[in-house]
Amino acid sequence: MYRIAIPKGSLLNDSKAFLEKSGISFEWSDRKLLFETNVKDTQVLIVRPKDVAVYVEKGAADIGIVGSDVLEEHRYKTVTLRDLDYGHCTMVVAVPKDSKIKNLSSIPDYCKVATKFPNLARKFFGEQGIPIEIIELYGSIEIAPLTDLSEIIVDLVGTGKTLKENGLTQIETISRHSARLIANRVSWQLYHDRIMNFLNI
Amino acid sequence: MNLPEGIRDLLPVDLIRQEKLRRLVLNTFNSWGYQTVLPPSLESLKTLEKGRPKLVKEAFKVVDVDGQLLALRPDLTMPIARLAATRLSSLERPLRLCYAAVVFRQNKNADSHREIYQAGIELIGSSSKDKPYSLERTNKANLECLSILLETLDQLQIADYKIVLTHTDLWRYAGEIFHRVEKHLEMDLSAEIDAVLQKGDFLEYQKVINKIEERCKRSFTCPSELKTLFDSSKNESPLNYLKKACFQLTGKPDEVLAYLDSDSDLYNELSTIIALEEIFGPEKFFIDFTLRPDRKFYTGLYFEVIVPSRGQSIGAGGRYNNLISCFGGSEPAIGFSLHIEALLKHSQNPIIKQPFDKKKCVNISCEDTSKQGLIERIKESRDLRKNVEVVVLD
Repeated sequence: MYRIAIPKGSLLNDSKAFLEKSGISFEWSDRKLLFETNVKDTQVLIVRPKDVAVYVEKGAADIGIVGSDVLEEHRYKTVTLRDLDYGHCTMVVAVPKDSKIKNLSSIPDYCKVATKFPNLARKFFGEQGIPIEIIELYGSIEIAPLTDLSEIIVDLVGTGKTLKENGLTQIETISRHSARLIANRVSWQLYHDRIMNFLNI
Repeated sequence: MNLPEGIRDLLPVDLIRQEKLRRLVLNTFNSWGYQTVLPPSLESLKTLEKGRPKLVKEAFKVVDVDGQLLALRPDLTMPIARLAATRLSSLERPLRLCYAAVVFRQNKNADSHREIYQAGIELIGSSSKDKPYSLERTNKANLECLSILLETLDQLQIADYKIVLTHTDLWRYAGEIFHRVEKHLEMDLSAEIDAVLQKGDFLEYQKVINKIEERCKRSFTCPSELKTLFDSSKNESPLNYLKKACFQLTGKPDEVLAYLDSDSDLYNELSTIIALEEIFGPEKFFIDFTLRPDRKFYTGLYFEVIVPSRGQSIGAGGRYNNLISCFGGSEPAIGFSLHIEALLKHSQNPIIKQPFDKKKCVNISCEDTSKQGLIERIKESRDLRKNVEVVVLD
């Protein structure tokens, strides 16, 4: 059995389109998570973005599609094959519009930073020499500074609309991200021809 | 009473199968003339630092009453190499040794086992005193080692396994290019390339190569020998080699060999190994340029054993010509080790798959618990054991 893991959420539609271009299609249904495809012995599973990397690392899925933010936040033992050039977004530092913090140099010591990406945030502020306190959250980061849980946030931004609607403004860009094609290292060796086919689409 | 993570009790049901597998594997090794050894569980930390510094971090450290630092053995190759260079140094070469024992490692990943059962062989030294490192000797040792590996996997009936090969010489050309660039541009490339490939990030790898290209182009004082690195008029410029290496030097052996110079030692060595498919069947091998073994330890061939639906290798091995000289004279050496627990999981051999057979067990009921009654039952059970495997006093 050959399995492809693709992420729920913002990368889902583009990922489905990418698979279709590769000749793999399946009948979509809202609640289903594991799909048989038109290709023999090939399944597609739909899981949370972070879990894509886990499924592929452990070999439960042979290849997967995941944002580079996930791969940079945590080191997985997978091979990264290709930039799929969709799902572009940026990792930013943002504060409430009326905050005293206007740029990196006005961040006070041990400032509270709410984020879903503690490792990336710690690395960035570490490199800047700014001591901070990380508050790890799992979602809705934007409300952390509005409720005084934190003073700033580090989050992934697509269009910037969510930031704006929550009265936040970006003060710094940390990194740029897009979707990556990854594979389990053993699958990369065992199903080499099949995986190489995905590289030229 | 919690067990620490990564260790477990082996219950009878596990142990019966493990014991059968150990016996089968050791029998195969023994039948090739390999003799079983068992080095001590503890080793001086200094010895480990000398032989396999990379494993020091992973080793469990113990302090003895004199304050001496010891390590629970994280590997068996190192102690066997020590043995070969010291107590066994005067024995005829090559030395053929094997083992089935446990090693101890601590890993940051909490999910990984800390007590690992391994079985393997070490082929140390050469009967040729003049040219122990010659290509002919290397080929002979490679074939012997890999034949034992393939035979063991076949004996265990491991389905659809593959041996993934790589060789430090595949990297030598790349290394030379990096060295030249590093010298001229003051870039630390080898470390960077090592890091991206160990991460398995082929995208980053391409980026590093592009960076070299950019730096070469921008550098006004670019020496003429560097210009050839990005000269696109020649199809086979060194930089092109690096760009394509990731994908072209990874694939089926015949595809990869087609890119190598057929007069080179590397071609000779790899194609000799692939010839084993004549005996063990087709599609047993795969070559992977991106596999990065510990380069301070492995000095030539390196290989891993993989099976479908298991995301990691079930065994690995290779040539380690520099290890023995850490403890004594210099000698070539090659070996492999297999994960016993992984073999147990993937073995289709009915002898190993089958649990304990209850039919082979006879119970004798001891209702009469008087002295004479019990003595009679024990006598009876001793007689029965001559023909029946297991007799239990109920």
